[in-house]
Amino acid sequence: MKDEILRVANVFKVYKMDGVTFTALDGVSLDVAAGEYVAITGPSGSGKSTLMHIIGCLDRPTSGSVEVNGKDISHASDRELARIRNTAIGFVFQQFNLLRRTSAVANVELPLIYRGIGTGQRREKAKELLVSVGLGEKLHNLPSQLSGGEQQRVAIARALVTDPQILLADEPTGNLDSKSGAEILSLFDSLHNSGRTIVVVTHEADVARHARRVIRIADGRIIEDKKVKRS
Amino acid sequence: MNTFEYIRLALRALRTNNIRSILTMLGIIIGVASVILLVSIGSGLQAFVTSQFSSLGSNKIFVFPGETDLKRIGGRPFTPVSKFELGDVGDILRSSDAISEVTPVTVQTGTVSFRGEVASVDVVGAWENYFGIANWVTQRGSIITQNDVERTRKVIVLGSKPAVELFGDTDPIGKTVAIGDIRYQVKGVLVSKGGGGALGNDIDKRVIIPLTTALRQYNQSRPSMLLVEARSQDTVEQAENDVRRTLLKRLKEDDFTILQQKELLSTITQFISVITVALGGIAAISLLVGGIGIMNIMLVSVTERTREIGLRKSVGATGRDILVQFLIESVILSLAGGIIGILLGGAGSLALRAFIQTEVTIWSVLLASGFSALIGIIFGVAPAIRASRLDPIEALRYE
Repeated sequence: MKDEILRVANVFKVYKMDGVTFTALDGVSLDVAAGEYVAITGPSGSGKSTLMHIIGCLDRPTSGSVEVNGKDISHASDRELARIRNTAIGFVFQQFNLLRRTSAVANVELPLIYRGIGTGQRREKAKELLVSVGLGEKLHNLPSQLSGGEQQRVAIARALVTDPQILLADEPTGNLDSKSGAEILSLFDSLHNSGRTIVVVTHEADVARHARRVIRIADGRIIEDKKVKRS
Repeated sequence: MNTFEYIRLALRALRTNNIRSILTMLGIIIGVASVILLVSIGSGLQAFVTSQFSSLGSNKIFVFPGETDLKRIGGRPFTPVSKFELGDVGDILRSSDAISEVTPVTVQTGTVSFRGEVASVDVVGAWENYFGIANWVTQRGSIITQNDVERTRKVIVLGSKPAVELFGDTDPIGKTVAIGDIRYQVKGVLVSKGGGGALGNDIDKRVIIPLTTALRQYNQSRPSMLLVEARSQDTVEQAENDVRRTLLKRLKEDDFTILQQKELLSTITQFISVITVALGGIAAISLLVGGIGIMNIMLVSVTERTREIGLRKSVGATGRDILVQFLIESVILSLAGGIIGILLGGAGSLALRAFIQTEVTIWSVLLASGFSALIGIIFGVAPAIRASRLDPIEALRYE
C-alpha cells in the first residue's frame, strides 16, 4: 500500500481572455506517494507551470479534483489554501525570492511567522535548517552577501522549515551556474534519501535525470509517466 | 499571527526605507504640530482674557455708550459718542441699595514718552475710587487722590508695562513723562495683573491720570464709560436694572449698553473660540495633505514589494495577513508622525511663551493623535486592500 500524498484527478484549467478560451491543462491525472522524487518536464507553454501552481495550492483547477495530504483543495477558500501552502507545501523558486535586506536566518523564519510560532522557537528551527543545508556560518548574511547557490540553499531551508509534505521546486537551477546547480541537485538527492517527497518542475534534462520518476507534459496533457532506476 | 508580530514586521519594513518613512511622516508632523500650536495660542489667549477679566471681579457692571453688540464680530464697542454726564454717577449711586460704587472713566489710546523712550498705552482718566473698583494696587508710590482729581493735577500712575519700557530698572516716582506735549509727574506704578500677552488688549499697558485732567487733555466733557460695582455678586442683576432705570430717565434705550463682567467675558471668549477652531481647522487641512502623502507612498510601496507579497502568500500568508501588515505600516507612519508633531507643537508653544501666553490643551492633543491614527487607517486602507488582493502567481512573476 502506497501512502499517496498528492492526488490529481482529471484536472482541467481553462483561461478565458477577451472571449478566447485557452486550455492550459486538459485532463491531467497523477498521484504522488510519500518519498517520491518526481520531475515534471515539458516545453514552455506545455502547462507544467499551471500544474505546479495547482499542486502548490496557488491556484484552483477549473474542474477535476486535487487532494493534498488527503484534503481536497479544488473548492477550498483562499484562507484554507494559504493554510495548506503554509503547512503542506514548501516552495523553491527559480529566482530564489528571498527578502532583500533581511538576513538568511530571518528569511528562513518567514513561513513560521504565519504559523504563529514564537520568536525563539522560530530562530532555533531556522538555524537548524540553515546548518543542515551547509550555511551554518552565514546565518546573518544578507542575500546580497551570498552567492546564487547559497541563496538557493537559503530558499530550500525556508521551504523545509515548516516540515512540509511536499517540496515543490520550479526550475531550481535555472538561475545558477552548473557547479552551483549540481550542488543544489545533490542536496535534493540527499533530501530524497532522507525520505522527502520532492516535485521538481523543469525543462532541463540534467535536472530531470536526478528524479526517480519523470512526467512529460505537452499541450496540457501527460504524454509520458515513467519511473527511472538510477545507477 | 499576533499583533506584536505585525508591528515588528511593519517596523522592519519602515526601517528599510528610513528616509522615505521620515519624509512621509513629515506631512503628518507638520499638520499635527500646527494644529497643536495654533490651538494652544487660541487657548492661551482665552485663558489670558479670562484671567484679566476675573481680576476685575464678577460683581462689576460696564456701561458703554451707544447700542453695542459685542456678538457682532468686528463691532467697535467704544466708538459711539458718549452721552454720559458726570452727574449720572451720583444719580446712579443714589438710586440703588444694590450698588456700592460708581466711577466714570475715559479711555484713549496714546503714547507716553520719557527722554526719547516711547510707550504706547491706554490712557485712562479716572477718579480715585477707580483703583478700588478695578482692583488696581500700586507697587510703588501712591494712587491718584480726590485732591488730584479736584485740582486737575498733572499726575500719572504708570502700569507695570510702560513703567518698565520707559524706566527700566530706575525708579520712576517723581520723574516727569509726557503725553502729547503735556507733562505729568509720575506718582505711582501699578502691580502687574499678569498674563504677559502681546495679543489683544493688555491691561498692564495702561497709564491712569485724573479724570478731570484727561477730559482737559483730550478736550472732552463726558466720560467714555461708567464702571459700576454691585455690593455683592447676588445683587448684580438688581444693580444692572437700577442703572438702566436711572439712565433711562435722561437717555434713550440705544444711548447706552449695560454689560455684566461675565457677559462681556463670555462674548469675548466665544469670539476667541471661533477663531481658535477656524485656525485649528485650517491646520487640519495640512493633516489631510499629509494623509494623502501616506497613501501615495503606501501605493508605491505595494507596487515595489509585489514580489515580496507574492512570496509571503506562497509561504502561507493570508490576504488578511497582508492587509493588516500594510495597514499597520501606514498607521505607524501617521501615529509616529502624530506623536512627533505633538511634541514639536508642544515645544513650539513653550517657546512662544516668551512672547504670548499659550496653553496646550488635552483635547487638542487627544484630537490630534486620534485624527492622525484615523488618517493612517483611512489612507492606508486602499493600498492595503490592493496588496491583499494581489494574485500570488502574478505577484511572483512581477519584475
